[in-house]
Amino acid sequence: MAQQYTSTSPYYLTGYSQFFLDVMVNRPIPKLNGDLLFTINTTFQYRPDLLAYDLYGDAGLWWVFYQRNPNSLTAPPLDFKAGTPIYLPKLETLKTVLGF
Amino acid sequence: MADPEVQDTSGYEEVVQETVSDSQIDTAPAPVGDEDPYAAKEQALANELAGDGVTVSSIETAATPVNTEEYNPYLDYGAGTDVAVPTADVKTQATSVNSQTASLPGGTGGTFTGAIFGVNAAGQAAAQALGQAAGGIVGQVIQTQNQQNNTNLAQQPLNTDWRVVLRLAPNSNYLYNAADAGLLAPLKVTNGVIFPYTPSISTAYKANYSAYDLTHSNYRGYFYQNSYIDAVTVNATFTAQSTSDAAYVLAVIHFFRCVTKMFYGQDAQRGSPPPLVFLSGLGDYQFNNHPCLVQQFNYTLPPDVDYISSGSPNNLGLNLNPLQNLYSTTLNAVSPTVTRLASALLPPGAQNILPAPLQGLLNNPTYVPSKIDIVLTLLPIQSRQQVSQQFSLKGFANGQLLKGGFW
Repeated sequence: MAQQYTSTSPYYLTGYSQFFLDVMVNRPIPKLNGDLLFTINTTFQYRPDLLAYDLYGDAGLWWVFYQRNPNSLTAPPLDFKAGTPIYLPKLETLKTVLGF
Repeated sequence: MADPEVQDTSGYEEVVQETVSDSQIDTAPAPVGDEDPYAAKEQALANELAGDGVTVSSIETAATPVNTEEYNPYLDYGAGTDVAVPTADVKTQATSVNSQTASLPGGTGGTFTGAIFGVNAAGQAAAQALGQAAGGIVGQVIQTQNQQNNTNLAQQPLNTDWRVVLRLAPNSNYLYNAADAGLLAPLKVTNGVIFPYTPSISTAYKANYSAYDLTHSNYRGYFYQNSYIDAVTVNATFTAQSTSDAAYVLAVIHFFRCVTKMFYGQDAQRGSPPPLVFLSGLGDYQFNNHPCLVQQFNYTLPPDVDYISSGSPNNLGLNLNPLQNLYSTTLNAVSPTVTRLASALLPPGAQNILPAPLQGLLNNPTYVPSKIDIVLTLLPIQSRQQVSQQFSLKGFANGQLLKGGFW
């Protein structure tokens, strides 16, 4: 079966049978000491896709912020509020982990 | 033996009926002198009604108590209140009343309004409901407009950066765009001087006319000579809350020092006059890369404010060199991504590179005031080629040339 999702998708490792997705396989993002701490500002409020586009050049990587900060970000995208401190995974880390 | 006295236990008092003799009854007629003024009218009315089968006894002749106070039509007596109206004020014929004037303020009482003005209660209720509905719709429209305005305001930073900024030419390689910008390096990140607070900008558009005085004339004539834009005065405020802000303020001060000097001596562009700067801000139709020269730069270091050291490169421990490299190559066509990342002080890729301290500033910190006001005098510049080949009053009037940087 052809792969339906790209390597930047959260469903990349999730199985796909006929027309249905299998149980989701998580794609965790490692927590490294060098990750940048960033407080969400009004520009990126409710816009993890915009932040992902600006940082990594791919709006489809919006979900990596939620994987990297599971304690502070739980309900996308409405909890992506200004004033919330989050850690930003580096682009090299994403390339290594996600393989794109 | 006398009968024993029986005590009344019925609970009723004995009623003693007073008897009146016939002689005490007044049978004399009423005095004629106090003649009832309405008696003749009542009699005439009775005679008239008798023909219709109405008896005099069926006519209610009981007098209605009349208030002594005069009826005031501007008082609201409330619905259902009997208002005594003098007979002379009662009109028995209908008067055509314009319905539009029916709602006079403080009009007659509620019970009279409908009858007099010919408006029934249902109509009034419908009109009132219609008015309330219209008011509700207007309120909703205003609320929606306010929400839209708030939304627009919230989205403005995402759409465009309308802060006032003074930049060098796009392809320049001097001052803060030089490879080794030194003190001016903070300006490379923002691609010019961004005024953090809205500055006061004074602009004067003038037309010169030469006057000629005719002999033996009551009026003076004028010859058109030319038009020009007078010097633009910019009053701006800068503040420094941190060492990175202080470094920026220091860079701003030094930049304006530099743009008043020509290239000379060892410079590659030696012999060139002071560089052009381009004023932008407040939207496309205010200042959109308007070319100008810095004629004068005034600043005063105030003695009554705190001074902050500009010793460290920035407050967040970030190395802005990658940003500077990025912006120096891309800011000529400023992309929204670069603008957003610069405003958030985020490096592309979230690369956290250790800062490279400015050794000179670390060893000998320079202090800048936490608040400083500067005054710039700018001379609007338009090249001869632009004036002759691009300018047209039509294009200027419709705003196209204004967007193209024409003063």
